Amino acid sequence: MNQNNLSSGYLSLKGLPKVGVKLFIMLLLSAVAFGVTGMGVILLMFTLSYVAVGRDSEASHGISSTDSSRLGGLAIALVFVIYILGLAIGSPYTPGVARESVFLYLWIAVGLCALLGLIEDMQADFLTPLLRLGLKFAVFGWLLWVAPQLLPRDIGVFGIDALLKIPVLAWVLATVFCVGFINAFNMADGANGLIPGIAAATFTVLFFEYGRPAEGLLMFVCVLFLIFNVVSGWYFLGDMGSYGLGSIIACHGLLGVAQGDFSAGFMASMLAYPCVDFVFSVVRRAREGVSPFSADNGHLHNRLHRYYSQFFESRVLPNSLTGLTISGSTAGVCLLIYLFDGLAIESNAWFYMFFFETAVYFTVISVLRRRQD
Amino acid sequence: MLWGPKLSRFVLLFLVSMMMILTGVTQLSALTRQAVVAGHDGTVINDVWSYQRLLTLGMGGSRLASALIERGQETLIVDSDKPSSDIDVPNSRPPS
Repeated sequence: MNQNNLSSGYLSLKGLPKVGVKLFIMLLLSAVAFGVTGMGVILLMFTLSYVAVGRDSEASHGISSTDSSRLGGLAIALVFVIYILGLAIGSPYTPGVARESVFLYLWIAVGLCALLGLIEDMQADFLTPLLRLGLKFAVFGWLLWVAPQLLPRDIGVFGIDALLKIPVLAWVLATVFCVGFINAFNMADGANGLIPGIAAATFTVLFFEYGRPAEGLLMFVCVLFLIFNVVSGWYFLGDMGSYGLGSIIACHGLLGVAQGDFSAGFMASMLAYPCVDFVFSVVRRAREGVSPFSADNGHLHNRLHRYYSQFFESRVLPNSLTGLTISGSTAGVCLLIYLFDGLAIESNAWFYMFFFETAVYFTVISVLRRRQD
Repeated sequence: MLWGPKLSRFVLLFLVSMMMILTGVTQLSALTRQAVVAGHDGTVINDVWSYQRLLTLGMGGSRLASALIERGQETLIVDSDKPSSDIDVPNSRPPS
């Protein structure tokens, strides 16, 4: 993609051969997986990726070396809403959100988080970081106050369980967790296929567990976004995508743990990378004396990308390989263990998997730091 | 500035993609209606490899649609506040 193509506004296909090949691969994969519908979603994402608003220049991002759109979240939201509305209108089913207040509150909170992200995607720094953080606390504070069913009473961790027995403390801890989690999701949205891969694996598990259409549709749209993101590199999830998907996963994760459907260890191992990388990055920046929330290139995905870049001339391939390596070796492995019944989803033994992933994270990042610094 | 060949191409591609997506929505809705009419007897759920479904929904989508319909019996409600399985068998409770 050259700058002239993008700066001119809507669609300009001057670099058609390269664009055409990528588009053909994406359409082929989506047709095999999801037929005409899948091709339609890819075409919609392709169209939206050329919209002039919400673009990241290559200089503004740590990994991506091509101009990319930040409207991935908008594309996902559009497809999801079309399907949900279509099913609600066209089929005889009544969605659960219409009959269970907890889901109504949950989706209102998700919508507000996604809207907050969309504003940021459309115009960067429109809201000050402090105001954004305050709004996120307000949204999740409200949600967990009106829907206390989301608060887990027992996560199988000595000490934290005692704190969770006190309702006000449980509310505070869960609110801090949710806000921290969606920020972690946003921070890790750097490499192609990293967060979409983790999200697709998580929604697959949630759909297999509950069979709700919302998770089925999110799995469908995340897989298609993963194909688009990995093949082309023209999209990031953006703040809307990472806040939206992050809040859905955080809330459903809390609800599942609170209901005893799966263990906190399982969710921790599924979502190990964004959580561990977020905590590690905040601590690292605090030790270096810079703001814990300032952007830098010290994440594991930045270092892994630098490592892969030595072997490939392509600008997209090392980026996609980085994302797929991380999402595949964390959430992907957990998904396989789940699908092949390797470990019961309610088992606290999943915490051992989480500790193993954390150990691998620190081993790999320290090896890469020694080589690269 | 905003209206020209580029915007026309954008609108055209947008409309074509929406029509393709809506084909899938319509197909999925029709399948759920068929399954309810058939009383969830398995005909719709097992018909994963039919030509029309594969064309519209693909291999993954067709299986996903079957899973949605199958799981929908347990988790969703049909035209009232009772689960569909209860509606299908209103007198299933044994007499006291």
